[in-house]
Amino acid sequence: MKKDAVRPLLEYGKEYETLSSLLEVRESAFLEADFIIESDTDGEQAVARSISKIVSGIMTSFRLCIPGASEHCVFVGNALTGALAAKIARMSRTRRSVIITDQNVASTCLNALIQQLQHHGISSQNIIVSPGESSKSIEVYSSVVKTLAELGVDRDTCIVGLGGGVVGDLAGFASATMLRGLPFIQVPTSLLSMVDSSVGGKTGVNLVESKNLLGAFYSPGAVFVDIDYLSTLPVRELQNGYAEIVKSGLLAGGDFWTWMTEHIGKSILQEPEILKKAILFSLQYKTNVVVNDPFERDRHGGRMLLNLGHTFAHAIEAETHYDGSVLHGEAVSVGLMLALQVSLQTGVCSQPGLLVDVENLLKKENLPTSLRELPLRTSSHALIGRFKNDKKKSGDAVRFVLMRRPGHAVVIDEVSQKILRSVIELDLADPLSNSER
Amino acid sequence: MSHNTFGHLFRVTTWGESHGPAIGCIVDGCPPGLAMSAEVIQPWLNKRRPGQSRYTSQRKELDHVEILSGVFEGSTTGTPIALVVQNSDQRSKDYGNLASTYRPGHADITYDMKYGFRDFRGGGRSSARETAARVAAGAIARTVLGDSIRIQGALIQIGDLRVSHTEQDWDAAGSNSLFCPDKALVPRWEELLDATRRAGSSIGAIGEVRVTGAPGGWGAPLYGKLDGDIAAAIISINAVKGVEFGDGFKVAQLTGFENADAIYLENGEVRFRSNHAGGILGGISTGSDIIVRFAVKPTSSILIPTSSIKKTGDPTNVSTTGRHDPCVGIRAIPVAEAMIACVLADHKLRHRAQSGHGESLLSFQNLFEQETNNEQYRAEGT
Ligand SMILES: NC(=O)c1ccc[n+]([C@@H]2O[C@H](COP(=O)([O-])OP(=O)(O)OC[C@H]3O[C@@H](n4cnc5c(N)ncnc54)[C@H](O)[C@@H]3O)[C@@H](O)[C@H]2O)c1
Ligand SMILES: Cc1cc2nc3c(=O)[nH]c(=O)nc-3n(C[C@H](O)[C@H](O)[C@H](O)COP(=O)(O)O)c2cc1C
Repeated sequence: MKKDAVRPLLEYGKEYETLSSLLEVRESAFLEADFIIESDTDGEQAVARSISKIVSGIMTSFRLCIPGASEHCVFVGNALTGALAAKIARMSRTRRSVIITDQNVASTCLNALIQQLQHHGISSQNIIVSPGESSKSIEVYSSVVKTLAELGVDRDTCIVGLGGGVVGDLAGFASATMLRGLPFIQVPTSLLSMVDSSVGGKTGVNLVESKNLLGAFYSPGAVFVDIDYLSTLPVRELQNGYAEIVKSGLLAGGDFWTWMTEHIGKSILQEPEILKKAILFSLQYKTNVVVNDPFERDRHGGRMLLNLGHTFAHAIEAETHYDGSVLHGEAVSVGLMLALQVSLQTGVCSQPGLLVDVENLLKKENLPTSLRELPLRTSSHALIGRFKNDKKKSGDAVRFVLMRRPGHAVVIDEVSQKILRSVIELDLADPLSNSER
Repeated sequence: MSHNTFGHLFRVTTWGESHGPAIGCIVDGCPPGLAMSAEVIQPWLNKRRPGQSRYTSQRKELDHVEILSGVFEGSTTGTPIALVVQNSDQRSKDYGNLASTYRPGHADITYDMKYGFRDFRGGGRSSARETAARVAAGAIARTVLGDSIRIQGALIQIGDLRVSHTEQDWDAAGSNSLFCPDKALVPRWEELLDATRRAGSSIGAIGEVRVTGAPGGWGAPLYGKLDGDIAAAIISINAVKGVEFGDGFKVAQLTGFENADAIYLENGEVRFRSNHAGGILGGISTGSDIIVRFAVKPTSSILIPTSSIKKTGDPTNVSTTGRHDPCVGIRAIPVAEAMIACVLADHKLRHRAQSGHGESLLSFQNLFEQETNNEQYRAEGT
């Protein structure tokens, strides 16, 4: 600003009056800011440094406006801890956080994070649960909220869910329910949680009766998708998340799907830059769907479509009795193939070539594409029986998300059992699965 | 009515239905004295048999041929040769409600239009089971034609995937189960066929048959055209919807200059610099390779329900259950080869009957010999 600049707003003697009325008008907008940098004491150099620390790692962000919930951003990039610290500071005046994570993530990422947060003036305590789906239980949930109570958290304590989908769902549900809602930040560390579970505000735990039966819609204050975390993720977990990327690509169609098909035959997971692009495409798609149908009210579109391949996947997972032998993404991978076959056999889709493309994409990342490739003994009878227990059902008919073509999914209320049986039996009897090729 | 016979001098009559006790044919007019036995015929039937490829129907058909007449002590006698193939795989449970519904894409509805009544078991006479009899007759026709004439078929397109112009090896086509002359394409075809099968659907194809070694002069103008008879023979194969020769339908895009096959002599033999005509001019063979291409429609019996009507007129949905054939074009290849063999054998005998022998009557050998003599003379003179 030039020294001699005239600032009519700040006319001598009226500064206080003018500024306080302006603040009154603008405060609500200011409060929406994702980050706040104090500039009272520091020089402009220091302010610039603070800004750069926050934004330098951020590649892109997607803003989610959900009615009834506060607007929040999904930030994507590398080395996002500076931004995370600034966000915690923004959400907790006392700059206090409790990090909820699992043992695997704790051993690889927790110490570094605690130190960096401390460096930025954020204090943190942590709660570490066992890794795996078994932690998404009422028992673990109640021990987590008990610990939070013991730690004496208040509504000014920010909860950070650092981990995969299990931690995200558990920490989110604890945040939603503890003191009727604590500030919550998602830091997904698995590919699946980055592209899928951390976005959309669904939190919850499993009951013995069914998966995700107890839960709440609870929007986090922010999601930090820091791609650096993927460097320690085991390969099988990376592949696990990839199935959801393929699903999103199919559902999104357009540029996303065109880009995917251009990568048939090349590994998307092995090239960090390509993987980053895939994550961005997926997040763009998912945030868009969530914004348009945040609470899954649309029975024939919106979030409902994200269940593509999941009716089969849930039945497969139920058949394993959740023993962990088949990962969710692996079940989704087979589920996508079966859902496409149902789409084709019902005549909803008329391009068998789509099955070839999807199979090639999945196979390239070593994902299973047929029931025969799973460590599982099942039958059409058993799987169809499981559909009835799927909570996506409405009334008695099994609802299916089917593909007409990439970018155009439809919800079919009633798919004939004859076709379901035919698809499953053809798949189980397939003489052309991996082993024989 | 009598529409089960084709050929004039080499005359084939087929009989039987898919789910009857047997099918077969009578080959009348085969010249005497040719070496013949079931062993000569059987390999060709094996090539057509279902289950040769993982992509063709998995029904069990043993297709064991038996010669009932016309062959004595390993030679044809000149009397009618009767061949029979027992139907071993006639499971009645397969028919379901075939009797009361019209399957889209099949001849059920036209049979009722024509006959008012039909043998509904597995498609009856219109079933491709009948093609086994044609293949058996084709084996005898090949013997009539002799070893100098080669009749080779290949699949050149499935769906949108066509073999490359340059990477074709027709010898390899005979040895892979998809009859594909382009090795690099086989995995892509397999993928597509597999996906099509899993989709419960089916896909069309284009086949090509090349005949090498047939002399010029076979066939007759107008009502006895060689290409006319071949076209009729190919169209008579189930599911074939189009036939073309040489450049076929592409000739519409050519100019007269481009389409003309320039003529020259080589060592006294008539030669053509190109073969846009596909080896036939005016219904008569030129001595160049005879090139026939045909389009086969996608299998009609699919798992995807299609709307139709019942015999009563009530609307219904039709779909097959269990295994189905994703591409009948594959199995049509040996049938097309056999049909062309029969037509050529017939025309060979017809040419011989009219012209005295089986070869081309146009010869420049005198000219050739004269020139060679002159050259020798000149050489000696120096
Ligand atoms: N809320 C939603 O909308 C939503 C959507 C999809 C899935 N989910 C849920 O997500 C869960 C699955 O998520 P997931 O696949 O991430 O499983 P997960 O959380 O169990 O993580 C997978 C494994 O990877 C380990 N891990 C995670 N990040 C790591 C890292 N950076 N380095 C090393 N190891 C790491 C974890 O410890 C675990 O062993 C399921 O419970 C599912 O129901 C929720
Ligand atoms: C070798 C061969 C095998 C065939 N197998 C089947 C089959 O398994 N299922 C089917 O629906 N059609 C099959 N067809 C095609 C039908 O027989 C044919 O489409 C039907 O009879 C209708 O006659 P049109 O297509 O010639 O008009 C086959 C054809 C050939 C040449």
